[in-house]
Amino acid sequence: MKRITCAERPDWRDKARTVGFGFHEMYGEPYWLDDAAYVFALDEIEQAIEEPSQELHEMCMDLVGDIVESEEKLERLAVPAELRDLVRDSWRRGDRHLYGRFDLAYDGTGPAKLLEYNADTPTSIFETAYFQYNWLTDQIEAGVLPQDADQFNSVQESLVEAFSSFSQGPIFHFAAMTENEEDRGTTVYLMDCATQAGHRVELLDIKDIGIDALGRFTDLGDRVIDRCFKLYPWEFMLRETFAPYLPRSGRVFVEPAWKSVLSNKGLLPLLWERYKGHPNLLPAFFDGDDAASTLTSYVRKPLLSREGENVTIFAEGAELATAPGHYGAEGYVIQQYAPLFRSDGGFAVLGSWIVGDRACGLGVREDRSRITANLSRFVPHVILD
Amino acid sequence: MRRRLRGSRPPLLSLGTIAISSMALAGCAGEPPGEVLFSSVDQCISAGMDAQVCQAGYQDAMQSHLANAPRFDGLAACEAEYGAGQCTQQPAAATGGGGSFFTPFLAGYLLSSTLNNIGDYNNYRRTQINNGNSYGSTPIYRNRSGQTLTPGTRPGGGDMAAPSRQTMQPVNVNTRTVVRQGFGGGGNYGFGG
Repeated sequence: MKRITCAERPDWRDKARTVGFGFHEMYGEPYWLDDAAYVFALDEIEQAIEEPSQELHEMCMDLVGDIVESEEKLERLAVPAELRDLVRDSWRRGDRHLYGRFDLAYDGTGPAKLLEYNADTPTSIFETAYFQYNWLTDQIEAGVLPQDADQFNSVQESLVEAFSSFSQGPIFHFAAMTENEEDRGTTVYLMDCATQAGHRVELLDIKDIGIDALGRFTDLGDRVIDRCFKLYPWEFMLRETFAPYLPRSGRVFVEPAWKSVLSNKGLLPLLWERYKGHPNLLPAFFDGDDAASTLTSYVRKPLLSREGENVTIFAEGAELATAPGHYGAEGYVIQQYAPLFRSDGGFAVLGSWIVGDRACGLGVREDRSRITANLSRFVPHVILD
Repeated sequence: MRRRLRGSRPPLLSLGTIAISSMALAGCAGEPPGEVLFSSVDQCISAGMDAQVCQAGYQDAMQSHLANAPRFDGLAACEAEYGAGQCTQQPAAATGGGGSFFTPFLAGYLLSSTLNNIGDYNNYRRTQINNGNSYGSTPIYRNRSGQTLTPGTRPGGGDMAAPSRQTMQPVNVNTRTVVRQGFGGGGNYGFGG
């Protein structure tokens, strides 16, 4: 693994605009880097990223059944008591899921370490699946990259295939916070993939979801919503006004309710408890467990946190980095600190994508901080040997 | 032999089809006041519209196009109406059954020029939908004689209605919403993964 710089595509901003990638700049900062890349060797991708990601996903899927059948574990994950049946039923029914992203710490040496599983509302999928891929093919065509340059990326094909496994009768609704350009762009991209899989699709704002007199979810056309992708966290839905209508909604929502136990940071100590010593896992404990005090360099993460909020890194007992935020009320986990790949570009974290049940692609984000947050930059990757 | 980890073909965005039709025009005289025809997002932006409105309008027009575009059983029939090379085949699955069909390319989309920002657009879109129009902006087609058409237009008596869907059970049944805004309160602070 190394970071290189290269000539940017002269027309990449136009290309971004044409496909609706307006969020290549966010918060006044560049988000997409066209003139840099992370370089991997093929066997490095296969052995250090692809195979471990596949195995980690299978370990997680194995663990979900244990978690949802245990009141104690659901309690530790702060799943509201009245909604535990919802989570349990969605797993027992085998409700289909679509996608997720492992965040891995990997610096080119030793095994990649799992930092967390964004299994509920992962973003950066358009950048990974589509824009990064076009960067590769353009750069090969321009002679910037060699003809045999490759990328760990069959994400879009996998998305279309995964969408094909959902029945095509009802409209596939897509709900998101539509005023957020990144969320809207991500959702519309997924709608495109669903369309390619033969679905009729319709976008609506998460706030526009309604309830009819029978307690069914409705769209703006006063039609019952039969299936709805939502780029909106389960931990919010479980605590909001419409939460009481969720149990009767059956398998409407994608991701399904059982995904909420994987996107929860409490997954990390539960994984460690069951697979202690696994090369791709870091020691992790619930905050307050005696064993947590054995770690001297560690990261404290809220059970429910997004974009690095309320995460604090301690090295040899001293605070190394911290991020503000709104999370933490439900409790924390303590995870051993794992250094990220570091270069002039900052600290890089690897996003390894699972679509359906297959590890199928990679997206790298880098940040000036050790805590990857919403000012991180997306950098394409390439396989060269 | 070396294994390829990327797909064998470049990914295609069906949303990109609008780029094909650069022949459409802006500001057509016959449209209702305030409604402007844009051929592409770029052209909408360069006409001085807000970029987010341009993109949102385009995305909605494309969704409408995918659901309601004029459909033809054969390529010849579609090209007879829309001109050679102006039609594309759609997969059968898009209709929930039946054979595949052909539709003309989207030539552009119709947006109200009074929308200054994405908030305006979202309100407008909500009103449109409440009035029974499914989408915030309107897709536009251009037939072989250069006439611009919306999905509601029926040129030359040709049947533009979508084929009937055969479904095993009723889906998306009509009902009456009693309350909205029960989700979305937590989104005031970001959560993207």
